[in-house]
Amino acid sequence: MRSSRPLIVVPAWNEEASIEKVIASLVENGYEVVVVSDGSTDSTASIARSCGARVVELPVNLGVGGALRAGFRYAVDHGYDAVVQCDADGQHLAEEIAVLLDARTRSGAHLVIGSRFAKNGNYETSFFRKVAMNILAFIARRSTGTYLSDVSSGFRVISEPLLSEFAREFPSAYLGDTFEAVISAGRAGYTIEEIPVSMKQREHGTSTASTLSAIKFLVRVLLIVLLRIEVKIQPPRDENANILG
Amino acid sequence: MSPAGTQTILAVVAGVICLFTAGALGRRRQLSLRYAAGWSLLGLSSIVFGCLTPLLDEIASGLNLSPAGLVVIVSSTLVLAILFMVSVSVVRLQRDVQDLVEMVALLKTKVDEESKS
Repeated sequence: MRSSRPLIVVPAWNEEASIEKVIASLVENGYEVVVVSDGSTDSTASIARSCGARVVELPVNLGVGGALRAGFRYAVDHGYDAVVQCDADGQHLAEEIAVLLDARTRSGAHLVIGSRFAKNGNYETSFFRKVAMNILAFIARRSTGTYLSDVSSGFRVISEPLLSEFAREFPSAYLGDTFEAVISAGRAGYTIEEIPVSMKQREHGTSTASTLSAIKFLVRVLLIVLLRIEVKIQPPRDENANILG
Repeated sequence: MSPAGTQTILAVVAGVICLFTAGALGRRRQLSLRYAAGWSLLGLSSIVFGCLTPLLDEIASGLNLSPAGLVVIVSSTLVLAILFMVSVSVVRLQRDVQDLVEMVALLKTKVDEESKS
């Protein structure tokens, strides 16, 4: 039986410093949470469990894409019709989830992306990353036909039937879970919407996005777009779907 | 010894080592049939071209290439074909491993949840 409540999926790799606060905040706001511990070697899983989250423990590190797909599979297996993807480092605010869910209810979009840069976005980032994100946003707009300012945001709502498709096939390469997933969904004809949200700066640990990996990622993005080698998913079957290029 | 003689000996030795290694690894099941066949083909072509230098010269001049150039092109093509096969296999294995890892984790979670309820 399908559940109309969303499931919050939190991929986490060695996030013991921040996970307690993140899960406590989500649970306090009344959300059901599953943490996908991505081969963590610290106490991320046990802390998440003690805070009231359900935990899927991957025995080896698969990267964010693999962890997310496990979370999507969990959601589909347990009958949820929507997933809110949320980072474990404390950048995404539990209070903002309602904003994403409202946008989903209002527009019926299959993928709602919380943007740090749209309209009143207040997120600070380095100049290089901003340039890279602008390039990504431009490419995504060209590929999906939808205005998107923050395709690398990991704060999203994914609804059926896209959720089932992502549970079946989801990009697992570095940062593929963000940009490539958007391109795949857009090109398959799923509706995408972006709304402004507030985010905090990362509190603990360091981001995995170094300058070198950002360049590598941009090259990869260009290859994906030019060669059209993004992960292929089935188009939506419902009549209201917006079929895009 | 003439340069042609040295060339023949080196090509035959390299071919025999390649054939022997492919055969030994195949028998020990450390190499699947497709890779054993690929490497054996490479070894065989090295032996054939090494022994039949006049034939090599004839084919090369027919293709407007130097004999050394022909050997490099043929062997590079075979090595590239094997590398592509390996790349495809590695990607397939990565996908399978990812699938299995996710399934194991989800099954473990399911078992844990059911044992608690």
